[in-house]
Amino acid sequence: MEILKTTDLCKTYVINKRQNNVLRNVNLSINEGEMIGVMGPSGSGKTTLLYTISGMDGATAGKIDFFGKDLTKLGANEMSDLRLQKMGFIFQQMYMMKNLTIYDNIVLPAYQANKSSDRNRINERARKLMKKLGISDVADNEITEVSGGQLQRACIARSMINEPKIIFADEPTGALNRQNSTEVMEELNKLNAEGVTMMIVTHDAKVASRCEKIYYIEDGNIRDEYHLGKFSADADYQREKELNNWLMKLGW
Amino acid sequence: MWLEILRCDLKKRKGLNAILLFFVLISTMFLASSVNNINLVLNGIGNYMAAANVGNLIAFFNTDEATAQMEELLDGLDCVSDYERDRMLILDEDGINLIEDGNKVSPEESTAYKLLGSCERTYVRAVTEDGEPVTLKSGEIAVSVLYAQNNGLKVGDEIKLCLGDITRTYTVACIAHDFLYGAEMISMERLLVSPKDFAEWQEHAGASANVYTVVTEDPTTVMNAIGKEQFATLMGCYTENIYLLLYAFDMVSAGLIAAIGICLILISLMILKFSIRFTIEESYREIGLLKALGFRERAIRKIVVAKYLVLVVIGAVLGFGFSLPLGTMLMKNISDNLYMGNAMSHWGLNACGSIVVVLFVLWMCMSFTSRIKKCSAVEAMRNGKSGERYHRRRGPLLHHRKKMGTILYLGLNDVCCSLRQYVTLLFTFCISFLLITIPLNTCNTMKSSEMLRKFCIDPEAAVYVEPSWETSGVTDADMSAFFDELVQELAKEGYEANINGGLIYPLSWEKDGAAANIATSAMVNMEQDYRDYTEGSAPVLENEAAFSETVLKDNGWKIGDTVYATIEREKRAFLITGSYTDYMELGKSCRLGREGKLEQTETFLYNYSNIYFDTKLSQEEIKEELTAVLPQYEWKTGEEIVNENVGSIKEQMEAMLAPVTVALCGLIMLIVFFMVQLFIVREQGQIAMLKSIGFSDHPIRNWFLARFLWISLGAWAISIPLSNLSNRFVLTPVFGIMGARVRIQVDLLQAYLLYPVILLIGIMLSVLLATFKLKSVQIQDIGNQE
Repeated sequence: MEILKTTDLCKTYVINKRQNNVLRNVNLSINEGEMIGVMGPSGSGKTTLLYTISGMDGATAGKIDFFGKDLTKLGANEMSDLRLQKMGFIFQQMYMMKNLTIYDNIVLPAYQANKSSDRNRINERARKLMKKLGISDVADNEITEVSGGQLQRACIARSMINEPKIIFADEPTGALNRQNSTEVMEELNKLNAEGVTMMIVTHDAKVASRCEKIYYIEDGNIRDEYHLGKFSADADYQREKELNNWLMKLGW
Repeated sequence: MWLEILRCDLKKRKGLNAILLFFVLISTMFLASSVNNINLVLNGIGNYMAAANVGNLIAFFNTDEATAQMEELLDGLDCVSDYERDRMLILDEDGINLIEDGNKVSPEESTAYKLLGSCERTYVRAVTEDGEPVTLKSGEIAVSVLYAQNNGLKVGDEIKLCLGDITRTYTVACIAHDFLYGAEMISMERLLVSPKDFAEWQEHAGASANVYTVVTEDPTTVMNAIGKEQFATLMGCYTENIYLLLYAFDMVSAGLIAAIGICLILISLMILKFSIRFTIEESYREIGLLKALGFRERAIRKIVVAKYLVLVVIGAVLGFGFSLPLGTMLMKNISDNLYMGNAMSHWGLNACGSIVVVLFVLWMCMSFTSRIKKCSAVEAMRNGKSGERYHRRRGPLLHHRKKMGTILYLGLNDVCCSLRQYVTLLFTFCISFLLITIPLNTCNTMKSSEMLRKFCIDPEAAVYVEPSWETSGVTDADMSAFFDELVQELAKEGYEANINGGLIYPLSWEKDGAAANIATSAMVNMEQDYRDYTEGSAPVLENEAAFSETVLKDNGWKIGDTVYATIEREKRAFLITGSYTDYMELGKSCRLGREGKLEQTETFLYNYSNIYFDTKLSQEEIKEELTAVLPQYEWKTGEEIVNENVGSIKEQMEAMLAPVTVALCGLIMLIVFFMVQLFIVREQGQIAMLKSIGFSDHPIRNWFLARFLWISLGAWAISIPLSNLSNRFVLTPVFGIMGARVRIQVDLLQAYLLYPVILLIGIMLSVLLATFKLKSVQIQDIGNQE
């Protein structure tokens, strides 16, 4: 089932009367349960695409259909509600509230989205997510007291806490070392296997090889797309090789 | 190189730098003007006394009889270096007519003695607005500020004086500051004419008064010598210590300005510290980066200090400019009776205040940047944090707060986690709450029954009457006859009334050879003493007396002692039964037992008389009713009597209350507005992050509101005990200057609810307005997170 579709999506920045068309008539669709990767050279518009599709930034033209709603027509508050309840975000840098503990950062969006009577249920879910992501032991730590990998996993747990329909991830492993990066991606794959739709922007072929479908974006256009199929840990190396070949053909 | 970095910083961080500049500006403005105003207030009475040249002791005689004896005494005292006799003419009730639109109008009755004197004097001279002695031409007259206020006089108005057969019309040429005769507490007022005109009046001598101004190093010796002479016509003798008390009530408003000044200085320094710390911490990451790039500590400090120096110099210069009119504006709230000098003429103090701000900011910069020295480049980039924690986390945990809303929690958590950061605001709000309760409690105390008691008036009486006799020369029998007549007249109108009242005699008291002239009150018709006593008991019998605490302390007397008074040339012994504090004769008085009578002795003053009868009407209503049926009497309410005694200060304080509240509210709103802006600039990364995870502007705004709500509530809670302390340590001594210990009256609803709520609403409104800036924070700003 198609949950997100863009039609002729354009994004233009005008700075000092100079127009910069970052996205040019982007058309893509994401089905429920898919794990989409977006790749492309620096400055190609990957992050802008992610921000525009998720409604974090307004589109200049075009349409973004998300569960039958055109995101370009929604007001700021409706968009906030949608982000709070149906979307999850993971950024390259691990942005969190500095005065909250890891645990409180994770439950914060859920407490905000739900009534206080639901807090027991939310706490239960938070504990499960933290256990699954292996960060239960740092629950009461402050954000400055954990490693980058733990913090990124906490960000993933926060993005999952409201059981979103889709998670947008912008270079989720960009600030992590190889081992942490692998661990984080494994967790994302597990979540995807449980049915969570994901859209990941990355320049790391290893990360992208864990996705089901990869869009290659260049100069604001989707130049090509590649279907790798559902991720399987056994074929990890093979997928990466296959993807690299495709990328080489595109001039990566 | 560093100039280039500085230029870029000033240009790029326009918002932050503008806020910092604003804070420097208002801090300089408040600090500089407050330093000047505090100086003027603290030296106010001293300056006034110096300008008026009041000497060290003043003795007032109401006739010419004792002048030779007095001068012989003064000539014989070695400690007297100089004295001057100021002979003035006593004007009677009909002697002064103000001319309004060509018609004669009698002036308002305000004091016992109306005197006419010459403006050319060495001592106790009236001064102009600029502190210069008043000079008048023939045909001109000068009146005191108080007299002008009481009678609505202005320069150019005409006054017609009649004495004996002579009548002259004068033009008011000067509204002067007259130290002695322009004070509310002195029951004398004087009009001044030119020496030539006065000489003409003197030729047609009427009743005269003589005021001796004595310059001496030892006023107590002179005072005792005068006391021993037992002058029958001596109406009062005051030393310079007493002069200081004359303007005690006027100094309440001056003291308030000084208190506001001190608070503003504290607020200024706190704001400066807060904003500098805040902005320097904001640039820690960049400082760390410079450090990582290999910049030396000195070079980094140079960049930071240079930036703040540029901002603080601009802010201080502008602040200095604004501080001069602000200081003058604040000083205008002080009683017009006082000569305080001109704030503009002490601009040097404002300049010093501005320099202090510059130095303070530079010191703060050096102090905060010294922290960089202690931490590594990485720690600086992490805002001084190493990633380790050795202390217990401050603040509550969100998931432990089952009932509290997320936003309220976030606000509380921020305050708890960064308590030092919010202490400035907490402190500022506390001071603001206090600054409102101080004048409020002053006003409430001034209109309370407590004040009536301190003026020896019974607040339980239905109404009061002022006996309509000449001031002096009344005896106990006159008073009794007056009461009998009034009781009969009231009975005719259907009022079954009892009346009592006090007569005040100038008696000379002595014990063990030490003598003192003490105003002594004896009550007529009083069945039960309604007055308060702090120790011992009320005097009852003929040979019993109570003294004010000041008299007991000054003379070394105590309860149980026997003291002697010369009454009708007979020395009588009295037992001291109790002590009290009240405002009678500046806190130095004596009360005789209720059975004590001085039948032949003439009074020099009398109190308002208390009238008692059963009624449910208010004093105001009874006064109206009695004025309608018995208009020949001067009926008074308790409030009117207090007003007459404390003068215009009560109205001034009441009038100040609303502007002070508005000004404080405005100031706090301004500070809060810019502080919120500062928070938004600094926390835009977190705000963007919250937006990215689905928080709309509304809950983020509420997050800011919650923080300020918690701080305001905290300040509110802290200010309640602080207000009690300020009542005890600020207001009680102020009211005590006049010799009485007054219980400060607190209207709980007003002081602890109404006015704090007004401030709270102002604060919340300001936060609300400032958070409109939240709209400008985009999710893309997420990268600006610390």
